[in-house]
Amino acid sequence: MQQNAVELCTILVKDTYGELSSRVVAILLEYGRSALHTLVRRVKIPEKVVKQTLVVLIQQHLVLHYTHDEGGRDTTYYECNWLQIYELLHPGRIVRTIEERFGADAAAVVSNFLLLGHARVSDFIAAYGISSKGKPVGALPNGTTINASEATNTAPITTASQISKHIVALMQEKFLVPVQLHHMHPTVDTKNAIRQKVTSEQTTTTAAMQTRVKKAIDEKVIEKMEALSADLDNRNFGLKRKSDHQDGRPRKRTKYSAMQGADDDEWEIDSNVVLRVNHAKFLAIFRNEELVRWVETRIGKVTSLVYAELLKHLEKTTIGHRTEKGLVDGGKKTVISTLDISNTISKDIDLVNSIASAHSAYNGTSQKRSMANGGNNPFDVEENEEGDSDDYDLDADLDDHDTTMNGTHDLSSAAAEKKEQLQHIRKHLALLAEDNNQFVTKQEGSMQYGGWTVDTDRLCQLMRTRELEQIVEERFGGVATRLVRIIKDKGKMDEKGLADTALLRQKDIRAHLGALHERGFLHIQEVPKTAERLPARTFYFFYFDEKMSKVALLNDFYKSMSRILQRIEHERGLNSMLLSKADRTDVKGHEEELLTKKELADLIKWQRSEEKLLGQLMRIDRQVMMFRDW
Amino acid sequence: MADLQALARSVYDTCISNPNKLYTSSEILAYIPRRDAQVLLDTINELLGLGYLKTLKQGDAFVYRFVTKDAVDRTRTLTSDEAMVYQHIESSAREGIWTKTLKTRTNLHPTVLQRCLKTLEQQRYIKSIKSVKFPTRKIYMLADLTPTIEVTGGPWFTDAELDADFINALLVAVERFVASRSFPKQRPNASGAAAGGLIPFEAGYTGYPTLSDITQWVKNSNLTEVDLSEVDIRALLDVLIYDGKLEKVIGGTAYKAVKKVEGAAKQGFTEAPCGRCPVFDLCSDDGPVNAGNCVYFEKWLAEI
Repeated sequence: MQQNAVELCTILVKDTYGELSSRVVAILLEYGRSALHTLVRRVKIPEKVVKQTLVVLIQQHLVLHYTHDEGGRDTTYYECNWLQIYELLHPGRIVRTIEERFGADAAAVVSNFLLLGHARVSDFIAAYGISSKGKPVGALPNGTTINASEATNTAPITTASQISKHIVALMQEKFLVPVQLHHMHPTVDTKNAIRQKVTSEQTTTTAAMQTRVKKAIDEKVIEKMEALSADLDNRNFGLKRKSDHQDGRPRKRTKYSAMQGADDDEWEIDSNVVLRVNHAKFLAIFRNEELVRWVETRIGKVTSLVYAELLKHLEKTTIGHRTEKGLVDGGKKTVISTLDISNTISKDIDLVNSIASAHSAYNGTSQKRSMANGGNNPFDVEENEEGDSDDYDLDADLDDHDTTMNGTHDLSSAAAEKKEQLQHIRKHLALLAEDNNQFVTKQEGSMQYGGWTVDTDRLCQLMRTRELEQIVEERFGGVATRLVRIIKDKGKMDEKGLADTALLRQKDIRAHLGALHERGFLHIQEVPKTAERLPARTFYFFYFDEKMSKVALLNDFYKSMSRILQRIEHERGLNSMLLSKADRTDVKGHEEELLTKKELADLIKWQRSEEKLLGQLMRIDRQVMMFRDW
Repeated sequence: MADLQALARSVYDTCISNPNKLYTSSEILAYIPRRDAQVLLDTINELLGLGYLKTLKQGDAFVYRFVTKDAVDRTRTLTSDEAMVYQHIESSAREGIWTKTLKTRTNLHPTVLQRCLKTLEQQRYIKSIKSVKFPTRKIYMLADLTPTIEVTGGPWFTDAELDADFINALLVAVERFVASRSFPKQRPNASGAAAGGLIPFEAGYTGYPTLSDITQWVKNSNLTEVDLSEVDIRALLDVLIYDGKLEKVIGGTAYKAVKKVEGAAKQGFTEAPCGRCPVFDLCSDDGPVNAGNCVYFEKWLAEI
């Protein structure tokens, strides 16, 4: 964990939960895992207060705890979960996503869960019942828009059944997940506990056996760790059947319901379940949004809409686990068929006029070449044989389908339209597959109209590379980008080779290389020609290390995010008089009448600055997610 | 010519018609009456002595080349030092020879060598050239020769300097050409989706220009006098790919322009002051530079 990340986390906690919590978090982050008495000693706050603070932080999942048996005495250790602290930046995005998909009511539910950290369903509903008039969250003072609770100011939810309906829907899509015991414990401890248990089951005999036993234990530990999160794979985990919940065989029904996908009403929440927001799922959604935006810039708006539809289908089946390696989802394995997409895609999208056919455009070169090829598809020579032979099997494919469906070749107009639409969607998908980035991969023969998978890991890797190059471009200019790309492509290179490949003068690139080296984008390896290691008799090879650049960049991101938050604080300090006046209950809503002209202008200026700073913060947040989580 | 014996002159006259041909002694023997080896020896010696003939080695055998009368006259007027220098420069042919190498080979005193070079240059027998590989070296070669590509650096170099303007102009031209072939022509009646910008060709489109297409176009376009080969054009295209302006398609055989985004949003990081901050490393909460007193933030916030 980096120093700059610690600073950022402390600021975030301070903004949301106040000075006290941030002191505790800062100490926990600085010293790492601590027991209560050490923590109290370091924080220099009375034990009672520290305990209260820890309760809040644990409730929010910001602090994890684990109780060890140390020589007959139980000791509890506390540890900061800094990735969860970072999630304090995301409520806005999360609530907006839910609002887009499930409407304002569901968004209100989610934002309350975010506010509460985790909550028992029965308590949650009860709280609504009591305080349905007085909103659970008061309107916030100016300047705390990081917290996304404004969304709660929407139409009130009236009945408990409405809430539970929303919760069921959210749970089935895994936006809300039941809290399990291991969520509250550091992963290392969970792992150690499992290992201990597994080891005690084994009886080691000889030294020779030990390595093999160790391996077996390792495997078992991994297996059990996976099993912990496997419960989430069940679509209706945490839910129970409405009619026959004594049955005790929900798994079978689950399979059935997943196939049907329409029996939401049959399920209700087990009101004893404790729920929390599944942040990892949102990370996957944000990632997909980013991928769609990328497609839009590369290919076009309409194709990106088709892609968005495809990714939406993928999302339904993914849960999103966050592991040390990053985000894990079943993207590579899940196949989405063209038919699925066509069933859900909006009819308003103009699929036709967004792709030019080869015949309507150039006739010079293209025809000549296709004749030279003897009509062969040019993709036969390509290494990745995607999107090939689409054109000729398409019609046959569709005809087959129609005959099986209607029994005749006479197509009703609806069927013809459907066929048309499928054809166009396939064209867009083929375009996505053909792109050098290979946004989708065609799965041969798996489905009638072709199935598609998305290799998100690889795409995210490419996306990171692209982002990095863009940062280089904007910081150091086009020449620097050219150099970085060359070095990345060719490996280690000296100045002369670089200049030759880039078609630039050596003296022109020297300054760029220096600047890139200074900021940690490029690294130098020295290879002396002689034993004396004279600088003049040494080769200097430049190389690019993606991992190191990534770490350096992330560090910079954290730092600049901290600076933005600090700047907001600073600006607020400058306007504190004005803001406290504007926050007065009698002034609120009547700013026009009660504030002077100057005060009004200042207020608007402050709001604009804050907006600008927060906007920037979110944009950097996007880059952090890209480099760290995806 | 008057200095030659009749026989030698007749041999010279016959053979000089083909000045680049290399003769073996047996070939010259054909022009000697009665094919007398002794006469041949005398004649060759005479021609060699007066500089009309040069010995060269081909494998293990000696061969001869006849020297044109001009060249003979030229060397005739030189002093012996000058002649030696001239010979060394001549032997270096189109590669040229570095003055330092010349000095070690001739073993002449530097001032003498300088003087010789000066006279030779004044008489326009030799010229000084610049090498791309060694820009600081003074290199000489015969005045009537053109330097090799290794010395000049190929089409991208003018006077041993990389011609940046020329390259940039070509890059822009090639990029435009490829871009014009990468997207369909905008139809005037195009509506809806097409209004949002360029629309792509369908998958499997084969009309993207190949390397030979582009080379041909550059040749026909009168962009430059310089003859550019496919290798040169490939270097240009590589640079454009590294610039992110083009990409290879259809298995790397053809090129396609990358779609440009109008008014693309900048990076969050680099747009905020911190991403471009020159004192970013110094910035810390309790340091001399911090978020509160940052002048860059002030300027940036005022820009709203």
